[in-house]
Amino acid sequence: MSDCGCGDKPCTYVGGLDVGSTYTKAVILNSEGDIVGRSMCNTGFKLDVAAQKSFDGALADAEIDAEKVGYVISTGYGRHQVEFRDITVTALTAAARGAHWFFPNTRTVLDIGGQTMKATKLDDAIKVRSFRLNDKCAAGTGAFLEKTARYMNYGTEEIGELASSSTEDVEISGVCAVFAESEVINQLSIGSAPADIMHGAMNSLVGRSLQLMRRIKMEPEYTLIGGIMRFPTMVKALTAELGEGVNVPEGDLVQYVGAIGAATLAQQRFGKIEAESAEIIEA
Amino acid sequence: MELPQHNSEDAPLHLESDGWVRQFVASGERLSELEQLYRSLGKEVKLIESASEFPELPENCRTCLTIPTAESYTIWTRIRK
Repeated sequence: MSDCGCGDKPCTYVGGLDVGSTYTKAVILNSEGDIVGRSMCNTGFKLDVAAQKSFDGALADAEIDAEKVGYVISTGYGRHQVEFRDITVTALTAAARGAHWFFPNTRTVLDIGGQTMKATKLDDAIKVRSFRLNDKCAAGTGAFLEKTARYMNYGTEEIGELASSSTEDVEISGVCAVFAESEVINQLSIGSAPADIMHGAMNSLVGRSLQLMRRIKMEPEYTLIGGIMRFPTMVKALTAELGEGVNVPEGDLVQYVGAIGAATLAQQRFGKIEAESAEIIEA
Repeated sequence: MELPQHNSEDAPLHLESDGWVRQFVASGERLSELEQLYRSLGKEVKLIESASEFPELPENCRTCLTIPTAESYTIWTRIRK
């Protein structure tokens, strides 16, 4: 991706891996804390394979070998399957750190991924103070949008464009991925356009997100992360509801926030270990 | 981890009147991690087997949660007295 940027200083890299239910993301930071490599792949059913694949991709992007990486932290639901990790951290902690890395004034993080929706409130020290997750099901997550699109013969990559071409409001009553099919059939039977149904599905998710955020007594600034925030319609609808102080990392970085958070923690931890080693040598 | 409760005092209405707040349904490793996280935030935590509180869930959700996969529990929290 780029030169490490460390000049003449000894350069040791750190890695962060976020093994999510849908995608696995890997990030490499240099000793200055800059992203020098990143990669993402489908998680699938072999979590260890996905972790290795995304890590290899990030190394290739950074144009370095694995032995140059001094410390690796994994996060996400599959974090325990990453054999080459040093330690693991929870997805909430990694997201908090990542959101702070992008936007230091973040106080509330909304993370909507393929299978989960999480709202987290942070304090000044970037510690989790309150949090709330969706119930253990795919309602109100990326899976709901994917299934809604699929029942109308659209692919995941078409969701964003489809929703943004909506011209009329359609009310989608539920966010259950299992019952998305009947919701879609019902809407199509009364003449609703696919674009409007998709837009309605996103609005339904916005409502669900706000419920979750209110339960943790959200405060600005808000940082929106996760795969769902790739869709401008979703961000626009959330911004309209939240008002001022909404942050969204640019482009596909919105999906890397957890991995970046893990990598920044890796850097902190590695720095501490290095300092302790230096003290021992001096003694 | 506190063992799940099954007596009538753990019906949602009783819990709410006792100051408990329903959080969400979770299972497996995530359940124990989040339980610990709530405790670290100074909360008391009670885990209720999801099936015992079906009346408060929508019909669709009830159908789904009866599928015998990993055991699901609802996390209830209250500020430590």
